[in-house]
Parts: sequence; C-alpha cells; structure tokens
Amino acid sequence: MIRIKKTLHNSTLKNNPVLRQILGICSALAVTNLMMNSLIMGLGVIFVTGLSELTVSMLRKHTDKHIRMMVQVLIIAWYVIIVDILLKLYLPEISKALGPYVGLIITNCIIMGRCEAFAQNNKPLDSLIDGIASGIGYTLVLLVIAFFRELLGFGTLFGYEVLGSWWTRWDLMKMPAGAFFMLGLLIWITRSLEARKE
Amino acid sequence: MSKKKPILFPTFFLIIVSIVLGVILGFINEASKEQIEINYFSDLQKALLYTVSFRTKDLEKAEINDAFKLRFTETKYNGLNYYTYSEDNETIGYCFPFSGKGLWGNISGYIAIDKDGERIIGLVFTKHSETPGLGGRIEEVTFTGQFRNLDISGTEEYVRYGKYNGKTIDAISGATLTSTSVREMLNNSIQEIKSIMSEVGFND
Repeated sequence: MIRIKKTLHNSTLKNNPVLRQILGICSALAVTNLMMNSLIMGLGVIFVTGLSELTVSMLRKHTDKHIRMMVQVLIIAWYVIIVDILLKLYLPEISKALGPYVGLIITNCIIMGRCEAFAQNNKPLDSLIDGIASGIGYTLVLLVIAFFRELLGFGTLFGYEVLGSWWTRWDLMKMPAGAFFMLGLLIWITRSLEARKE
Repeated sequence: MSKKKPILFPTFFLIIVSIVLGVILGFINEASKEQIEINYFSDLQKALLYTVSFRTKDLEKAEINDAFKLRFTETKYNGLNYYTYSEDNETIGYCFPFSGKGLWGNISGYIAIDKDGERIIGLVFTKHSETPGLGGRIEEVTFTGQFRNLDISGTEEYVRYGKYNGKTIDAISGATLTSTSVREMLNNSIQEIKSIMSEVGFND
C-alpha cells in the first residue's frame, strides 16, 4: 500500500511528466484551448500509459533487450488505435475536435519514457499504477492550462458560460501561442514553489 | 566482442505478438466499422438538413435518417455527388459540396441553392482546421445563417462582406484571412455550381 502511494505521488506530482520532465509538450499545447478536449485527451493518455505499461511489464521477461523498443511501440500503437476507434464510436464530436492528436498519442514521450524507465524493470501491477499515475499527472497539467485558456479566451468552462459579455475575449489564449505562455508560467510557478520548500 | 545476439527467438516473438495484437484489432475494427459509418453518415445528413433549415437538434439518428431520406436524393454527376432537395415531392433546390483553401488547411462544406440558381437556401461547413474561437467560428450559426436567402442571381461576386442587396453579411472579426478565403471559395464554387446547373439543365 505504501509502495502504491509512493508511486502515485512520485509519478503524478514529484516527477510530473509535463512540468518536471517536460514531456508531452506538443499535445499539451495543442488541445488545451477547451477543458473538454483536454479531459478526453487526458483520459486517452491515462488509458494508454496504464495499459501499455502493464502489457510491457507482463512481456518483459520474454522480450529480448534489443527488440524491446519495437515491442513497446507495437503495444503503444495498438492501444492508441483502440482509443481512436472508441472515440469515433462513442464521442464522434470530440474525435473530430481532437483530430490528429489522438493518433499522435503514440509519439507522446511520456508513454515510451515510462515503459522504458519503469515497466521494463517492475512488476505488472506496479507498472499499471505508475502508468495511470503518470497519465493523471499529465491530465492535471492539461486541465490547469485549459482552465485558464478557456476561461480567458472563451469566457466559458466545459462549454458553460462563466464570464459574461463584459469580459473581452482574449484571442491570444485561443491560439497555441497562449498555451506557450500558460505552460511557461505554470512551470515557473511550480518550480519556484518547490525551490522554496527545499 | 560481446555475446552474439539471438535472432531466432526474438523474430519469432515479434511475429507472434504482431499476429495476436493484429487479430484482436481486426475484430475490434470489424465490430465497430458499421457504427462508425453510421455516425459519419448521420453527421453528413445533419449537415445537409441544416442547409435547408431543418432542425435536427434532439433528434435520434434514425429520425434524422428518415427526415433526410424524405427530402434528399443523391445523384452522381462527373464524379461529383450532389443532392436534390424536395419537400412534398416538389423539387426546391440542390445541395452541392464545395471546398477550398482556408488559413491552415482545406475547408469544405455543402451549399444548398434553389432550383433556379437565384438564391442560396443555406450553407454549412463540415470540415476545417481554422483556429478555434477565431476562424473556427465559420461553423457557427451566427456566421452561416447570414447566407440564408442570399440573392445570387448576378453574374459574379455573389458573396461580399458588408451591406448590399438589403442584406448585411459580417466577416469574422479577428479572422480576416479565413473570412477572405471563405468569400473566394464561395464565389468560385457558386460560379462552378451555376455552370453545372445550366449544363445539366436544372433550370428547365
């Protein structure tokens, strides 16, 4: 139990994939203009990291060292295609909005990174938890960025009007450039807070 | 020199993993194909019904399908699919696909024109990759609704921004390039559609 808690804490907060490892930046910039898109993207990544790590870990004893990366990519791609099909099936609107970024989960370095760093040397259950934790870490950052971008850019949250018409929509926040600023600020703030703690 | 890497087992292992994953994926794909296609067609039907002001909100897929089948018939002409729109067996207009370059990528949609080729019944954008919240607003009703009943009986420059012919069409503020591309795209497409319409002899 303590081990699980430690893994969760480590992968979600202490070594947050986006803020500390600066991984998965591309999609973090691209899909965070709306909370809903970010949430679905995050859930997709949690699903893929968790199950990929589980599968990689289960196969780790039978996989030779020099083909391990091919096997990992195969497994990750497989789960991503499943996510893509599921989205098209049940959430066609969101699938359309996320466009190519669902397929690009494959290239999200968080997944490959965790498979290499963690799943290759740990038991399946631990790997599953680590994968889910990393995914949650990624999702949290996405949601924080999206919260500010959607609020400032559209005046809405999850599509619901929050700020009235008195709020001048901040067009910069709707564009990827706005995500750069938000992400930069977020990394800056979290790091300086952490530095103070130490 | 390090130990020689094994070849046989890894190759075998990779093949097995690929086959197992591939087969499972094949099944999932096969099982979901039909529903995904239904989703796709339902979206298309919704878009086409929107061009003729038919409200599809709160309707089930089957109801949309019925409403669509009742009003539209598809025709293929020179590799182009257009739809004939009729109410109570009386032809009212035609719905044509159009597309063109936007700011970031291609924009495509459907435009419904009355049978005399004199006014736009309505139009809809089905695919675009414009900036969300800026150029992306072309898909909003506040934009597309402006083109309803627009007189296009002239010979060129059917669509303009500003006040004319007793109608005001506003471009999207903050998205000048998208607005301009949409205008060009519509003018070109309407020109083309009109020539097709006179070719086939719709006007008779």
